[in-house]
Amino acid sequence: MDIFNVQCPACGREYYADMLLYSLRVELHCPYCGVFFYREDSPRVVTGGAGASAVARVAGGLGPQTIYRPPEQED
Amino acid sequence: MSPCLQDWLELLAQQAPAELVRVKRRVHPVRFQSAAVVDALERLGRYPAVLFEDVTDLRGQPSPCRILSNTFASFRKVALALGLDSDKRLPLLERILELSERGLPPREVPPEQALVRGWLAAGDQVDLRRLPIVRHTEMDGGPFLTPIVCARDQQGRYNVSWNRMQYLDRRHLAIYMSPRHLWSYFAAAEDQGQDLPIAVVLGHHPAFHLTGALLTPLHRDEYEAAGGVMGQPLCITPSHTWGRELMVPAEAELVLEGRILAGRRCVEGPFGEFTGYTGPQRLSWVVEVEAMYGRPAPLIIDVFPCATEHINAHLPIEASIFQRARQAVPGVKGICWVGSGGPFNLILSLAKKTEGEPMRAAMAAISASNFIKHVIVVDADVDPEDKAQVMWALASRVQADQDITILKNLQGQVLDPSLRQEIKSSGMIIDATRPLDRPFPRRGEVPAAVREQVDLGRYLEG
Repeated sequence: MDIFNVQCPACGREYYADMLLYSLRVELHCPYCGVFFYREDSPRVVTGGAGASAVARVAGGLGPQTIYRPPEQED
Repeated sequence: MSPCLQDWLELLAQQAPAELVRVKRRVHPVRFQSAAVVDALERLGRYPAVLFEDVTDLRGQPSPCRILSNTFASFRKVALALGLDSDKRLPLLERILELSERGLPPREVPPEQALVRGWLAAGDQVDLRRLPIVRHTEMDGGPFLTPIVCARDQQGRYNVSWNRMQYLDRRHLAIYMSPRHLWSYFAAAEDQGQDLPIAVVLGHHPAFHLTGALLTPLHRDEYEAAGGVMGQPLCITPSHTWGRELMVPAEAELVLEGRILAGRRCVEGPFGEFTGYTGPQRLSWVVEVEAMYGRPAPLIIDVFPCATEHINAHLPIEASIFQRARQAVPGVKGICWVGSGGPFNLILSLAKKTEGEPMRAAMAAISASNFIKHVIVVDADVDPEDKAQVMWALASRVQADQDITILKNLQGQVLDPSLRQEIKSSGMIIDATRPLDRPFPRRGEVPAAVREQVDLGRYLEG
């Protein structure tokens, strides 16, 4: 089945979980430090599609701060 | 008495001493140390059973338990467990089929005569941290047991299955169930709002553990099947918690009694599996442990799930697949699943009598087990265990547009890392046999009569 990568908010290490757990409101369990956390609290979650694309691979993760937005044209 | 694990260890020490090594130095299984020893041996191409005689529990304290690893890592050890002295695949598969068809009703012994009832911790006295539990691969979600789980269905039949179980806390374990018999027992109980009582056997004679991999029909009692495989009736005794409502193996080394909880789930894993990959963290079921008991210095069988011994522990499945393929096409001569290049690949050899037989044999094999995804069928002149010969047949007897069939929408193996959907898979059959309906070249060989008379010594001397 498809999986997603998730970074532990406590120790910063990354592991992966079944996509089913992506859509459920359940706490994930870091295999390295044992902390339980919600996906929403992870600093980095990578799913298939955009998250795994080569063009979207940006150090620190892709977010609004990564996207360049040109200034509005002044008349 | 039914045969027990210590009988088998003695037999192994006598008949195949090179197949057993003892580790006397203290080992911390939860810190990957026992797994690292097995891994180091495997990297050297060595597969002895490894008896860790001084291990620590989850609290880091010395444990009275011992851990036995690599129990199933060679054909010779599996054969000795089944009363056969061989290291060859086909005799072993035939032996498994012979034993699994026998079936012997279990024999009940009173609890006071059951060797497994040497000591007891029940209710709040249960503390799973007192067990030495192994962490095997780096990303494992915690320490995991690799036990045999015994359960009774609503008709009173017993199922015996291999299930991984992750330590959660003093009285709770996560259990992973594939959608097979134990899962169906639990689903029936949960539909009625009931928990499913189980006995978790952490060590018994290897033949009992192998019963957990038999592909028996749902209606067959697997305590009876275990007796057949062990060659003597399985001794059973009433459980501490449920009495005769759940009978447990009386000669086991250590047993946990517990309930798979209805209406509860947990996150479990990641876990390194037989596929050679660490499978993802996933949703699983929760077991609440009611009691634990065992012999004075119990032996816990640990199976390194990512290593050869796990694959070999599947030999009863391979035997069942062989039987089903041979029932479909009597000309099936050989099989190689274990060692065929991956846990989902199978190679069959057959003496083809008509076109279409390779496809029929392959479909019988695929339908026998959801472990099988790809089947290569070769002629009987090709040894299915010799990958070079199989690749030669593939190179020289296959035209891809004619001889490869893709099957869609099969029930797959949920642990297959290539699956996109939870369980739906595809399959592939490669017919690498020579055609019978047109002339086909012969192997290039020296005439057999001349070959057999050659004495190399006469030609190469000096």
